Amino acid sequence: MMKQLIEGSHAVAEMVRLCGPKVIAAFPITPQTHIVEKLAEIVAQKKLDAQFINVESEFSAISVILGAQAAGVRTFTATASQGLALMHEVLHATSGLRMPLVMVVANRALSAPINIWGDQSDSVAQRDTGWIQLYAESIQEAADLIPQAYKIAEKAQLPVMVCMDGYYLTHTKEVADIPTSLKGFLGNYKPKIVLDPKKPITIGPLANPDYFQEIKKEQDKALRDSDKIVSKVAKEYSTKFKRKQTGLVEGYKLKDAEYVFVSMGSIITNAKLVVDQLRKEGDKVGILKIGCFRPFPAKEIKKALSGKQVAVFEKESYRALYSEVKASVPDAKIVSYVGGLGGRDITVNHVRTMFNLEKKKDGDELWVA
Amino acid sequence: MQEIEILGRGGQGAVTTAYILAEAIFLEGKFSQAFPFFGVERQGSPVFGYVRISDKNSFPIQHVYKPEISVVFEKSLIKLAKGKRLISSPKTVDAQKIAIETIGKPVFGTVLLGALVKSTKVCKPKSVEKAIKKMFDCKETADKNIKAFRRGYDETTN
Repeated sequence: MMKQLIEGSHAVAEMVRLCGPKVIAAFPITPQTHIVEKLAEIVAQKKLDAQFINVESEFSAISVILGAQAAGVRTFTATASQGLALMHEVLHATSGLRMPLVMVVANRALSAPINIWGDQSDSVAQRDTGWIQLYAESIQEAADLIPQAYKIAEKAQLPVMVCMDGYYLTHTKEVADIPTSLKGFLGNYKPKIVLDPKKPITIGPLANPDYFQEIKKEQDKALRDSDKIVSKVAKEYSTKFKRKQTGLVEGYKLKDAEYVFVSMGSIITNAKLVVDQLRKEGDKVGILKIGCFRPFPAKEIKKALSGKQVAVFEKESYRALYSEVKASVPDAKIVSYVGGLGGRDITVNHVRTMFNLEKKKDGDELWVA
Repeated sequence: MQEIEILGRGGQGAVTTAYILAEAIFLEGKFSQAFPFFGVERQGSPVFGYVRISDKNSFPIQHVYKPEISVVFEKSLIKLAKGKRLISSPKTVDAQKIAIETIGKPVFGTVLLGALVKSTKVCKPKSVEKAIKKMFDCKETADKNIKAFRRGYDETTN
């Protein structure tokens, strides 16, 4: 472990290096660019034995690493916004082929209007592509999630997206503890299926109506069951590196809380500062942080929020997190907030106002900032 | 917690300046956070570099709205500065002139860091020099910037 002042993108790149992908393919897109720029430098300096493949689009980036993964190696790519949207077709192919890819999404608003700043409209829109989705609160957490993502992906035989807020986490420098080795946590990659010309097999053949549905049912089960893997891997990482990991959800001062803020990503850091302050003033407030959006931890959420007054905040206008929380917890008063779109700054003061739930009605759909 | 805003134009090095200052603070055993806010990603548009300093590793993730100090790269940007205290070129120190003489081009963040450290004592000059060395892999660039920093420090009188 080494405590250092490090940019979020570089912390992620360093952790990817430790995981040892053999093929990295990427197309530059803000605010993800620093991650793959750093990895290109790491490969050029021979600190990682990998092929770095520059491609002409994100569609190719994900296609290249899907092919490489099928040939039996760990891979990596990162993208954002339109880049992720362009990958959409291959995202389905990746999860359908059960390839354990790991990709970082540096969350950024989707066009139009064109905007380079952060919100979560890009990754949340890919909710139903069959990928596991993890959301980082901090630079430290984004870094810690990388090896966990590889481990989860390879155990579940499903791809994992690690989502980190663009700029707020990618371009910020903070002090983080970066492991110098993953020995004892993540071993060499042992692929379950390998495309090898010497032992020819077919991956992804036509599936007729008489068994296509069985394959999709199995895939759905694998995604649903991966919640146990996410929790287990988080526990293993916590023990190994002595830092508590979120796994599916994290409750913050939740036990006796009457008012609960629910969200995912870097906003949780501001929410924790607000809760510390409001607690000092005597308010019974807490936070439920969603660490894993897919599979959706409905059981854990129901247990944490039953009977409470809840503010769900999300950085996209689909209100996807709200509708899922609402469906999971029938016996809570739930107010939906949308904000922080296209990089709009959501401050500690904004979070504080979201706790004013007393006069709000269940099902209110509001905008903040 | 102390908050500092560094205000320049795209290409002038405001963000790098924020990163160097944050590193210098970290090297002194304190905690820091540095991050940019771009108007647009192109040369010439206003760019904010924010730095937070604290004894604890706990910072909000949001822009800096009430900085104690604003470091401003040029006169035309002063109207955007929100700090109570202003370190600016050419008023505090003629950073452009010093940068051209030491670095050879008008990237004058390190000169202004010299002015900042001299007039606010936010950290030790030695820490900034170490941070500059860490920031620039190229020794020549690091040396030129250290020179620029020292002249900024020496030629600031208040």
